Amino acid sequence: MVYKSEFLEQTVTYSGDAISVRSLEELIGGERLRQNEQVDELTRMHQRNSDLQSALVQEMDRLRQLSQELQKSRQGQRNKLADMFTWLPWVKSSATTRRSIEDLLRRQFEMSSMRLREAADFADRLDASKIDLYDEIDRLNRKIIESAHNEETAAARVLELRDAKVEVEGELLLAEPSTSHERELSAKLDRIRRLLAEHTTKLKLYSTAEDRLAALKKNTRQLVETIAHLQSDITRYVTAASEKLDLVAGQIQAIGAAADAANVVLELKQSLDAMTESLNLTTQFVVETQAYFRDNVDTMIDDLDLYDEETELALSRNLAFNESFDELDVEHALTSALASQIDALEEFDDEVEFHIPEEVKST
Amino acid sequence: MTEILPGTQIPSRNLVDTQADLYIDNFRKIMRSARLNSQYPDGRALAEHAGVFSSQVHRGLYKGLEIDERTGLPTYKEWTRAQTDITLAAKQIVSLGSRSAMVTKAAQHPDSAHSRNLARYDYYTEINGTQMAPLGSMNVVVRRVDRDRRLAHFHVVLDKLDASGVFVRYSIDLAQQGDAAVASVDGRDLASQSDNFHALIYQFTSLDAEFMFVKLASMAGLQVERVIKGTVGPFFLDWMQAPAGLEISPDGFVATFGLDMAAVDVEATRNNDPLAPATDEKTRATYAQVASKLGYRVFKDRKFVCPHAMVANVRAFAETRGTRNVVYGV
Repeated sequence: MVYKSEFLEQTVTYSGDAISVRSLEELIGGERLRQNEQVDELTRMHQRNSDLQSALVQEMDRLRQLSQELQKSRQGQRNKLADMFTWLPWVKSSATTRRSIEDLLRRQFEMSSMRLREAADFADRLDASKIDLYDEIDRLNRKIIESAHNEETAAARVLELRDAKVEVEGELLLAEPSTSHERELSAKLDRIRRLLAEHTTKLKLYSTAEDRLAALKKNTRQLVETIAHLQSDITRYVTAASEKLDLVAGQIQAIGAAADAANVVLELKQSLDAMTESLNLTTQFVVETQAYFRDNVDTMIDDLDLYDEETELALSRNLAFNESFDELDVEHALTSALASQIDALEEFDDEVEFHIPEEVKST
Repeated sequence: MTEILPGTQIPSRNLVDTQADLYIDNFRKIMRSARLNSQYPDGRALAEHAGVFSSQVHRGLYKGLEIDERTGLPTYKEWTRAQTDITLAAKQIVSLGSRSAMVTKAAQHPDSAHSRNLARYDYYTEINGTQMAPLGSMNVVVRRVDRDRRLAHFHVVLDKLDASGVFVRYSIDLAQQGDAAVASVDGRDLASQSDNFHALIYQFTSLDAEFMFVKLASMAGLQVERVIKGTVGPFFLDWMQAPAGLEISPDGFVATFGLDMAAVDVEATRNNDPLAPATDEKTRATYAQVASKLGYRVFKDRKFVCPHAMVANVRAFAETRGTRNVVYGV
């Protein structure tokens, strides 16, 4: 068969952009750059994941410790509740700071919620990165398939051209030298050589592109697997932490208020004890003074006529006694009011079965 | 759900979809209609804070809204969730990156992390800078300082989502002599509140204004002028247990706003709060004695917001309790 000129003029269509050594290097360079960025992003994510997880672990551990210490406090055991809030940045020290346990628990909860939200958002970002990387694999696969197709097209063309070259070379051997036929065959052979060189180069380039893209895809797949592991880890942890916080959320105020109520009761009890003691002393004093008045009132009235210094002194003493009796009334009223509030608090206390430890009561 | 301590689990109901949105719409209308002055928790901040719960704002990122069955208000967990998101919004917007890239990716992957991230981006953008109702904060301002008498007059405001589930604002005017029981005053007459005072007020928020007055007055060096406790809640919803005699129509609600005041400048002691807990005679008599000595009087009041159709019912309820209250219809 003699290859006609039409065969040589046939256009071979390769899919995608035209390929050259330079364009292949640019393509691979671009893909590498993209992958390096992904690796950098992964490194940052790894670090962020590690920071978030350790922060979350710390917060959860604090909540767990708080729960344990509250439990101990409830059971009247020695506990470290007062020391537990020094980890909060705004608490100066357990020794110098007296704060509401409800307030502290809530601040701790709000801080933990913040960490959890950051971690949950981060898990979604990892998920999005995973999708991006799968898209990247899809894109690389399309390029790999495209290169493979082009490689096959180039190979087929090279084979055709090689066959054509062999045939034209054979014809050329038989042709009369320097005839127009010989010249035509020679020109055809040159054209075949040129096309063969072009398509052989393309064949090599597409083959190289396919292999290099496949290597890049392997790296991307490793990246996506790493991110999937990261995401799975953080999602598992976030879910567990979220359940824990949900459990705490519904109860934290009541627990804090109950703990505070115990403190309040204790404080009121102490102030009542102190007040009762001073009340007893004052009452004794008043009783004794009144007895004195009763014994001496007649003499004092007789002496009133005198309006001397002694009388004035007795009158001012009497006024002082009356004032202290008034004060006593106020103290008594205050005591009763506080006692009523204690009763109310103790009812609340009973409801949550929050007992004041005996050793605390006695302090 | 497991209880950490017995009796501490708050009873709650989860409102979903349109129920939750209807609740938030009503909540915002109620707060606008309630006309709360500065003695109450900040109504505008509460309405803005609650707006974050709307599904149109959070774009389906959260499932439903948990309501405290004792008060008809969102639970502490929900308020904290909104507070967390508002606080983190600016930072998260930056970390989420370009919105236009997210739009493209979300279009390519509907119902994926990309569409969630886009929703989250828009959510954070919408709530960024939203005013929040404080869940627990105290502010102490110096009113005047009498250096000769070593007397400092303070105005104290404590805002809190109380353990009882209602929002509380305590406004206290008092004078402190000598040491820093309440706060220390620097050379520029700025107050720095003491931790002990903060803890003291914080712990007593569930109790009434009169108790707070007496408690503070019993502290050495303090002269109390006024204690006002303003509350937002409870809101009685149609599925909640309302006080006897107060009927809630289907889909109706009765929002209540209490004001409890113990002050030396109140003209006469009066209880105009139909929901005020009854006090036994002995305690009342004791309080009366203390009030007479300390020179304060107590005024309790409550106003209501409900649908127009329920206004007459709420007024009738107040009358049966011997009070006349402001009732706003929405």
